[in-house]
Amino acid sequence: MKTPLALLMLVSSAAAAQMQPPKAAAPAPATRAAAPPATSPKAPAPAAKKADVIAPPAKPEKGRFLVAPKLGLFEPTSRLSGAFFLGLEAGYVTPALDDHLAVVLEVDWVRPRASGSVADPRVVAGDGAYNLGNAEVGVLLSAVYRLEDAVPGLTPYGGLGPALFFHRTATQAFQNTYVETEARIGFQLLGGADYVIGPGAAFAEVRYHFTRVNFVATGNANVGGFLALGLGYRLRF
Amino acid sequence: MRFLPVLLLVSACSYKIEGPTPVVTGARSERDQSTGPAYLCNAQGDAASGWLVDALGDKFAPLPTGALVHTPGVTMPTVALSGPESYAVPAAYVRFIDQTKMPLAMRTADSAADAHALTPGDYTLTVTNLDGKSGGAAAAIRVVPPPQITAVSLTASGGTGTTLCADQAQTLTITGTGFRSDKLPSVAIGAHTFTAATSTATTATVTLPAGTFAGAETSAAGTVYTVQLTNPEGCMAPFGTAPVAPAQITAFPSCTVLGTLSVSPRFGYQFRDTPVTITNNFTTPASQGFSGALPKVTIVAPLVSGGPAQSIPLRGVAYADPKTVTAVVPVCSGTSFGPPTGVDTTTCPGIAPGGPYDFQVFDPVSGQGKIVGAFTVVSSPPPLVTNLNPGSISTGGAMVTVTGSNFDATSSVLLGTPVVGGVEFCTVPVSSRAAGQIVVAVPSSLSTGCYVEDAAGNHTTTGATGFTLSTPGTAGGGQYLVRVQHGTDVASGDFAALLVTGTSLNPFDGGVAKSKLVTARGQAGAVIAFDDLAQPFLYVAGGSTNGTDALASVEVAPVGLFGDLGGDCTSSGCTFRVLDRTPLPSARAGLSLVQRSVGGSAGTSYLYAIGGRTAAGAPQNTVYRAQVLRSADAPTMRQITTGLGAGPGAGVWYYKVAALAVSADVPESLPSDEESASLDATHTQPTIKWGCTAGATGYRLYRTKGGSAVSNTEVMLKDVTAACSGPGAGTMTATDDGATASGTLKPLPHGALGKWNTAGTLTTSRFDQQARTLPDDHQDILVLGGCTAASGAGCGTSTTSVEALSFSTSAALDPTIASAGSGFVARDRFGVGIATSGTANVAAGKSFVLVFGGETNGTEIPGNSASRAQVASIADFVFTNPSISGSSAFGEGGWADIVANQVFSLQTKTNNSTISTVSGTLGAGPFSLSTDFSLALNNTGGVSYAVGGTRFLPGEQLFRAFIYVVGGFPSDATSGVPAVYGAPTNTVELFEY
Repeated sequence: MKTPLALLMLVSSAAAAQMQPPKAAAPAPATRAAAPPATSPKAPAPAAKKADVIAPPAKPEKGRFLVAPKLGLFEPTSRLSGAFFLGLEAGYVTPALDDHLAVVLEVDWVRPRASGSVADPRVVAGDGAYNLGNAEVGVLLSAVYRLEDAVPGLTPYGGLGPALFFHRTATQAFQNTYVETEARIGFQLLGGADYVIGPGAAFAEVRYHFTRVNFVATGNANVGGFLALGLGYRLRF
Repeated sequence: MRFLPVLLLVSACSYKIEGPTPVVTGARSERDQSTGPAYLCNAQGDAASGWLVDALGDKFAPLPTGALVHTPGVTMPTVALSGPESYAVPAAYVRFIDQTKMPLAMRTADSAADAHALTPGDYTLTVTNLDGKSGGAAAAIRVVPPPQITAVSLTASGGTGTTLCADQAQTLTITGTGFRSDKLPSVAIGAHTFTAATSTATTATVTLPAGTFAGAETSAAGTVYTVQLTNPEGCMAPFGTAPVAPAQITAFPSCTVLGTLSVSPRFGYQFRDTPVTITNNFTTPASQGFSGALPKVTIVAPLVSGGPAQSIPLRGVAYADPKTVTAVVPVCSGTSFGPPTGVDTTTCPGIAPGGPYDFQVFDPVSGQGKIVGAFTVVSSPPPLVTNLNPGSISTGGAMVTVTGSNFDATSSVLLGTPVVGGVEFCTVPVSSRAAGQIVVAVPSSLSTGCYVEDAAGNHTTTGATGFTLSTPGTAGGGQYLVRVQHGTDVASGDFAALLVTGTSLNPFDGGVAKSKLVTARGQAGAVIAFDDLAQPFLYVAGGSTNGTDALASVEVAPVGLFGDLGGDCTSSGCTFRVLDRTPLPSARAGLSLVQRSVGGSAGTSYLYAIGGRTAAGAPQNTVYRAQVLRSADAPTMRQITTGLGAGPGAGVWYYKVAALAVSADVPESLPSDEESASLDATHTQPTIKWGCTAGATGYRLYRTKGGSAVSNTEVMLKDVTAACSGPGAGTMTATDDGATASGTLKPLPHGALGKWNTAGTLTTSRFDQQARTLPDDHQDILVLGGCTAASGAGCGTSTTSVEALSFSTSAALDPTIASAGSGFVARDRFGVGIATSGTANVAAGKSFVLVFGGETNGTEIPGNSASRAQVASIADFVFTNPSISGSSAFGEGGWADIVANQVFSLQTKTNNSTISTVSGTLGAGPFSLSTDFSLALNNTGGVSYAVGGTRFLPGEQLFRAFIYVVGGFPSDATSGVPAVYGAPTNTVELFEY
C-alpha cells in the first residue's frame, strides 16, 4: 500500500509541478502569439525579434484545460457483472512533449454486482442466496499523450497512471446486510480519440483498470475491468 | 499539517465492516425444548453433532465469503459460552436457520471430534456477528452431567430385588446420580418405554403395570434386561463402557421366590475354585424350594484383572434337594473356563480378592433369591489342621497342640459343638505358637468369643452363651470341632474332632445313621477311606445276607463333619450309593477291608479287600486293591458353546465328561463338573469343551436324557477318542449332534472306586479274620487269624497265622506278603485294637496290636482263658498274654477298639444271642513292651444296639470319635438254611466315645 501511495504522491507532485507557472527563461504559453504580452516587461528584446523572423504559420488557439463528462459500460474481469459507468475528468495539457502530454484527473463511479447462493451444510434452512454490490469510486490520475489533430479534428490519445479506488461492498444475505468499505491503490491504462465537434470534441475511449479488494464477502479479488465502451464530450479551454 | 492528506488517505484505506447488532434472547434444547435455561448434557449425544441447542434472538448474521474468488462459503457469527468456564463453540458446529435461530452442535465428552465436556453449571450465551457487534443472554444454557445408575430394585408383593414379575404391578426404583427432576426422565426396559413417576437427582421411580411384559419377553430361567434411564436432554445411563450390571433386572413370568438363602463355606482361596453349598430355607407358599430344574447362580464381583463388578456364573451348579444346591465358585477360573486351580493371577484370572460379594440365585420355576455379602475371596491359603495332640482329653480340659499349615500370626483356635440352629463356636486361649503349631489351653468351660454358625455359615451371637466340655450323651458332647480362624482374613479351617472322654469306659450309643445300606448284610468288610479332597467315605464290601451266601456288591456313603452318613437322599431317607460298576471281582463274605492313604502323585486312598470266603464256604487268599477315584483325574469342564447344526433338540441339556483309561487302576475317572447348554431355534448344536486328563486315551460324554431334564441325571451319551491340544494336558471339544442315543450308564459318584486289581496272595487262605493298617511309615497291613475251613455257616478250623503285607514305600501299591511273628492263638471272629500314643499310654515310638476274644475252631474263647486277650508289639508281632483282671469272656463275632487307654469290646455270646460287652483300662503304662499291659476289665454290660439285635459279624470301623457298626445278623443262633443267622440289618449304628 505504501508503494502505490508513494507513487501516487510522486505522480501528483509531478503533475503539480507541470502546472506551476513557467519560469522566466521558459517560453510563455502565449509565445505562439505574434506579439509578446505587455505583461512580460522582463522578456529580452532580442528574443522577440528573432521570433518575428522564424515564427511559423499561426495555428488555431486551443486551451490547455480539459473537462469531459463520460459514461460507458464497465465490464469487470472478476465474477462481478457488467455495470453502468459514470465519470468526469479534468485535465491540463502541459507544454511538455511539445504540448502532447496532458495530466488528467478523473473521478468515476461504477457499481457491478454479483449474486448466487451459499452451499454450506451449516446453513440448514433457506437457499443461502446472497446479493453483492461493489460500489467503487475511483480517483484516477493519468498521464495522457495526445496526438493532436493527427487527422484534422481527430486526436487519438493514450495514457496511464495510478488511481485510488474507494470500494464499498454491500452484501445482502441471510436476511441481513453487511457493508464493507476499503480504499485501494490501483492503476489504469486508457486509449481513445476525440473528434472536434462544436466547441469541444466528442470522444470514445476504452480503459482497463486494476484494483483489488479483500472483503470477507468477496475474498481477495481484482475488481477492476474494462471500460468496454466509454463515450463523452470533452471541452477544452 | 503537511501530513494531513496522508493521514486522511490512510484512514480512508482502512477496512471497515458494518452490519446488524445481534440480540440473544435465550437458548433452547432441541431435544427436550427446554429454555430458560436450555439443558445441555456434557456427554454422549450424536458422535458428529453432539447435542443440538438453538441460540435464539435476532439479527444473527452469517456472511458469505469469497464470492468472487471461489465457490462461496459462509462465515458464521461466533458463539461463546461463559460461566463455570469459557468456551468458544467451534465455527464448524455453529449452524444457521434464520436470523432468529442458530442451532449449535454442542460438543460433549463423547463427541467424535473436538470433544469437550463443559463444566456443569449455568452459562451466558454470547453471539458476535462479523462486524464485532454482539449480544448475549445470561443463564441461557445449563450444562448438566450425564445420569449414572448405581442400582435398580423392584418391589412387589411377591418379589423384591431385581426380579421383574410380569404378572404383578411393580415399582422400579432407580438409584444413581444426575437424574433430572424438573422434567421426568424416560426409562426403557426392553421394548417398553416408561416415563418416570417421580424423579429426584438421585432416585427415580417407575410404575410397571401388571401384564406389561408378555410371556415371550420373560422366561422361567429369567430374561435379563438392562434398565436404561434417559434424561429429557438426551443423556442416558448406562452408556458406553459404564457397567450394566447395576442396572440389570431379570424378568420372570411370575414372582415366585426362593426362601432365605445362605451359602457355605463363605470364603474361598484366590487360586482355587471353591465348591459351595447353597441352602434354601423356604416356607411354602410364601417362598419356594429349589425346583430341580437348572438353577442359575452368579456371584457379583470384579475380576482380578480389574474393572467393575460383574455377574460371574458359578460352575457346576447342581440340584441336590429342595433345600440344597451345590456349585463351584470360579474363584480361580473366573469367566475364563480355565483350570480350577493355579499359582498366580495368570493361571487364575478369576475373582479379585475382597468382598464379601453377593450371590444371585435364579431357579427356573421357583423364582429367585439373593445372598447379600455371601462370599469373600481371600488372598492367603486357608488354615489346614492336620492333627491334634492329644486327640482326646477329659472334661477338665488340657493343653492341646493344634498342628497344621497356613496359620497366620494372629490365628485363633475355637472349639465348636452342635446346638440348635447350627454349631456354637467359642474361642480357646492360645498358650504359645510355633511354626505350623498353636498350643491352646482348653478349659473345661468356654464362654469367650462365642457365636453360632448355622448350616449356611451365618454367624450370630444370639444364644451363644458358651458351653462346658462333656462326654458323649443324648445332649451331645464327646467331640468338639476344632477351628483355626485366620486373624487377617475370614478364612478358617475345621478339624473333626477333639474328643472328650469320661471314665465310664463305655461308649455312648449315638443311634442309627441317616443312611442305610441298599443291601442288608453281615460278615461284610467296612472301612473309611479318603479321596484326594480329604473327604471321608464309609465303604462296605461283600458280606452275606444269611451267613452262607456271599455278596460282591460295594456300597459307599460320605461321612459328615459330625459323623453322620450321607448318600442318595430322598424324602423317605438316605441310602448308601451302590458302586455297581466296581463290585468285588468275586462274591465273598468274611473278608477284611482296610485302606491305605497313598500320597505322592496318587494323593488318595486305596482299599484292600483281603481274604474272605465264597458262597460255598471256600476260604480265599486273594488281596485286591482299588483306588478311591481322584477329583484331580476328572476332566475340567470349560465351556459349552452353541451354534447351528444338528443337535439333541430344544431345551436345556446338561453335560459331564469323564476320562477313560487314565491308568490300569482308573478305567474311568470321576466326571467333570456339570455344565449346561440352552438350545433353541438358532442355537441347535452344542460343542462341549473340556480340559484333558493326562494319560487318558478317551473321554465319555454324559448328557441328560431329555431337554430341560433335572440336572445331575446324566446318562452316557458317547465315547470319543482323546484329541487334546494346548498347554499341559490340553483341551478338546466334542459336539452333540443328537445322533447318538443316550444310554443308561451314569457318571461315577464321588467316592467311587477304580478297578479292583490283584495286589497279592496270602499264604493262608482265610475268612472271618481281622486286618489292620499299621501306624508305620509305609502303612503296612497286618492280617491276623481267621478261619481256614468252614463248618456250615461257622468255622471248623481257626488259624494261628499272622501275615504282614509289607510295602516298599508309603506310595507303593502292591505288598510283599509273608508270615509274621509268633504266639498268636488260633482264633476267628474276634476283636482287635491298635494302641498308639494317640489312643493309649504307649511309650514314644511304640505301638501295639491287641486282640480280644473270638472263637477257636467254632468254640468261643472262654473267660478263664489266659489268651482271651493277646498283645504284640508291632515291631515283632510276638503275641503274649497280658495280665487281665476280671473273668468275663469277650464273646465272638463282634468288635473291639482302643480309645483313651481303654478297651471296649462289643461281641456276641455264643449261641445265646445276647450282647457281651467288656471294657476296662489297658494298664497304667507307659507301655514299652507287650508285657507292660495289665488289663483291668472291670466294666461289663450297659451297652446294646438300638437295632439289629446283636449285630453278629458286623463290619466295624473306628473313625474320629465314632465307631461305625455296619449291618450284622440279629443273632449267632443258626436257624436253618438259608436264614442261618436271620435277616441282617441294613443299618449303621454309631457309638461315640
